[in-house]
Amino acid sequence: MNTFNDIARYAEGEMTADERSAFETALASDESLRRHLALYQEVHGSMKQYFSADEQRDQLQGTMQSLRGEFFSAASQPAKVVPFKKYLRSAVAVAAIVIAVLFIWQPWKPDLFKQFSETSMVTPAERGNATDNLLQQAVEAFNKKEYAAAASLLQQVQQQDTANSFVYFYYGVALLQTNRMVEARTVFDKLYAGQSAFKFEAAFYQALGYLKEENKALCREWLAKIPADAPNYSKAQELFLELE
Amino acid sequence: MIYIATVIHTDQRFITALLQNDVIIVREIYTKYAGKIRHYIMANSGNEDDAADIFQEALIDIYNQAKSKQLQLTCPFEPFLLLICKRKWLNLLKKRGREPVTKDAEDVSIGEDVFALAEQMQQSDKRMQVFLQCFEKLGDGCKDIIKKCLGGDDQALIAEQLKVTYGYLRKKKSECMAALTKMIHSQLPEWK
Repeated sequence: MNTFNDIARYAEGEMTADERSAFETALASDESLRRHLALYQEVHGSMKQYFSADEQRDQLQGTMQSLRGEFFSAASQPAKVVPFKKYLRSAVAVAAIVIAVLFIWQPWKPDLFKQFSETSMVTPAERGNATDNLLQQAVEAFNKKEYAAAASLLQQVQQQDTANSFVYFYYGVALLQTNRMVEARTVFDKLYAGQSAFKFEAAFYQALGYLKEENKALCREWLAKIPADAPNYSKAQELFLELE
Repeated sequence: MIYIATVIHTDQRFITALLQNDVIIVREIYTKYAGKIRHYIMANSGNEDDAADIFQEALIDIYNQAKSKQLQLTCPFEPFLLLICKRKWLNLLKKRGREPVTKDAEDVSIGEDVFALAEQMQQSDKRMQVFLQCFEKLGDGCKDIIKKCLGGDDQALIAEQLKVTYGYLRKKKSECMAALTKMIHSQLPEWK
């Protein structure tokens, strides 16, 4: 039965004009086809809601989590057999909280990352096209430290102007600031592998990424990649010494 | 079902509070109802943790229902919430292979509309379970594509990530969605 393939292609706008009008004609006279299409749309809608990020829901979860302890005391009855999965779930939750706290608090060097990661974007000369407008917004967001917004804007600019290492570098920084470490690392790796003006700046921020994760060994390793004639050499040395 | 005039209960404010994460009113929900749920679950072979989980899950269910299906409360919030919690708990007990010990004496006082609303929620919850079970049976490639495409990311970007062309991604997405819907179709009772 190919019905669902046709339905999906119709619903996703993948049909040619001819196919589409034939499908719509069939739809008008075929009750069962209409019901199948409705099911497709229901599945699509439900899965979409399930998979898309819902900030409000996350916030509500947070509120409830904070009320939980106040209204339900932690199980104080005599030892009970707790299903393993459940035990694991709370263990994971505790671990997540510990990691989050460490991330924010960073008891080892409270402000080293902050101190060295501070940077701002220079407003580029305006040419007045749509990409520039987007870039303008990105620079504003970035300099206001709204890094999540900046990351998404810079990503869009970057897609239209893939060879722009200036944009790509600050995109990496915005990712780093929002703890999207894996993506940030990819950006800095690529920049370091290339020959742009941001080659060694990328190495420095790669080092900062590891600093953020308290991986001093890799942090040092990346700092060491910055040669003495690079503009950021002294900054790198300063951080190197701070790590001791 | 015949709809005459839908009169929305003043307790709709609790639903709005969940949608807007109104901390003060969410706290009011806890103050008013958490104790009752706790009491019920602990009297029925559960512990504090179970009660806290069930209470939280029920509120999230209500949030989801309100967000996607514009849930309108035609009855007071309390019996509605209690009924949802009870049903969730009884389901869980069943899954754990335990039988509930107490009878639902209080349910007698619950109005028909409370049941109807709770029923509606339970139905859509069950449906979603079927959707997700079928989703899990798809191949990894399809799961990944559906998750990413429906997750709201830009499709051109997803194509780049997956190292495929945009056209191929779109074709794959509709094939995967077709496979998923077909499987769901074979699982849902009303189509059998």
